Amino acid sequence: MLEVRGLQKSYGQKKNVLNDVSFTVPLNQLTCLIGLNGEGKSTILKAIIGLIPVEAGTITIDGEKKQECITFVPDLSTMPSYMSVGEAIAYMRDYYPDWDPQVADELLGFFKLVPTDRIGNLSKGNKAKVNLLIGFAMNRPYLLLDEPLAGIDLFTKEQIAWIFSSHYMEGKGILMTTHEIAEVEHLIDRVIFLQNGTIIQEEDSEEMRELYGKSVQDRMREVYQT
Amino acid sequence: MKKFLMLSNEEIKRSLKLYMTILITLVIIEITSIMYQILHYQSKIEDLMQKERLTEMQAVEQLNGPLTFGDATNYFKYMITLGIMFTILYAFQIWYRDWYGESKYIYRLLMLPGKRITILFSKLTTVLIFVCGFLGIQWVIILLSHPLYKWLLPDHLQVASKITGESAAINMLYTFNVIDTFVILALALFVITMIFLFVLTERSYRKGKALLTIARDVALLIVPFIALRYVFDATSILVPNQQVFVYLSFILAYFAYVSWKCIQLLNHKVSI
Repeated sequence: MLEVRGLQKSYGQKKNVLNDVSFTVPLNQLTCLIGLNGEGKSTILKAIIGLIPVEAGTITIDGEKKQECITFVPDLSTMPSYMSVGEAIAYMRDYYPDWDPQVADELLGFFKLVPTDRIGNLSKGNKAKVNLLIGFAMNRPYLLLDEPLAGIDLFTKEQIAWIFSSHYMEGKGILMTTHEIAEVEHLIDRVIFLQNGTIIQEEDSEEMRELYGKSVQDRMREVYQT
Repeated sequence: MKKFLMLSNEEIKRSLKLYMTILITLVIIEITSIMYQILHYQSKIEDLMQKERLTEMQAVEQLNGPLTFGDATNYFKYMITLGIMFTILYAFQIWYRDWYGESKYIYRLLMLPGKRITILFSKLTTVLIFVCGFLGIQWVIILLSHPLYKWLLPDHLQVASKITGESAAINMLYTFNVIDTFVILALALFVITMIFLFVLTERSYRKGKALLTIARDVALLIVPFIALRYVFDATSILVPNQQVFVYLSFILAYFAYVSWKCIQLLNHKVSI
């Protein structure tokens, strides 16, 4: 289990961007980090992977510091734009010993990506697909996804949503931030509500439906409007 | 080591087109400039001979004597200055393109397995390789320019000269001395590492704090240097050789500090 304890982050005068943030991400579950813009969702993901320093807090997996078990899939292209899709895959394969070439090949076909296409020429949707391909082919137990559905067309969203319900998710713990809750509502296992850098609610989506008789989106509306 | 080689290779690949374009442009300008200087000198002599009815000897005298190799390569100093400026700009660009480029490659770099120090070394190596390439091509151009000077200019309009000795810019770069070459590269390494420190400081702190930190680091270099100079000028504690040793030790200590700071910032402070 990925365990985040007491994350604390400030940006200069902006104190408590993250304020004692603690939660867990179990394996075989999709945990969704929900919040309005600027609440600190992406900051949490970046802090977990070590892309931004924090003032306090620990990130452990089964009680140990194992950052090599986590993959981060940001909402923007991270491969040099002059590279082709094939070159980007080869680049990742060379650096990561846990790279799974079979998953990479399968997703390349599933997403209908052309290996010779330059990353810089790809649409936003196709860049998101390349990001996801890289994330899943790295074959690590924990995956952090930052807005994987933002700004892409319906069919690409459906393809990505299919991935979340497929065998590629087996044995993985996913922590995802998204504003497109309706698209993945049926796939979410747990929801963490974030406000002003503080976790205000942490709920099991099934229990939420039973307890409140509401969808995640309705519950979100309720939480943030009160 | 494998990661370092792969990253260095990637950095070189990313910049090779731009680097080669700049290098070739500089070479063309340099060759053109030496040809222009020689032809311009000859046309001035002809002009003087025609308009003022002087003999060739008188015209040469009026132009302060024959054209030296130093005069013919006068423009080289500007090209060398341009080369230094491009190197300084590149030392900034090699980092900032990863943050502000079309893709955010810095995410990938910082997430790569292994130690982040490799990123620093690969970028440093790339800039140094480009500096070596620039020095090497300058040497070749200066060597080629001398026969060109001899070939284009009639013997009596030339001054028998060696390649070095007449131009400060050429003297600075063109040296058979291994120690001189080592000093140029060490100086380049020092300047590049300082630029890297500025960039990493700027990427690690908010604007005000970044500026203060950079100012402090610059002061840490300049203030002790001035203080040492003042002490050495005012007293005669040390002989000149010993003074040089103290200066060098200080620069080495400062370089160690800058390198250590870069590594610390990259490992613990830098933010995307």
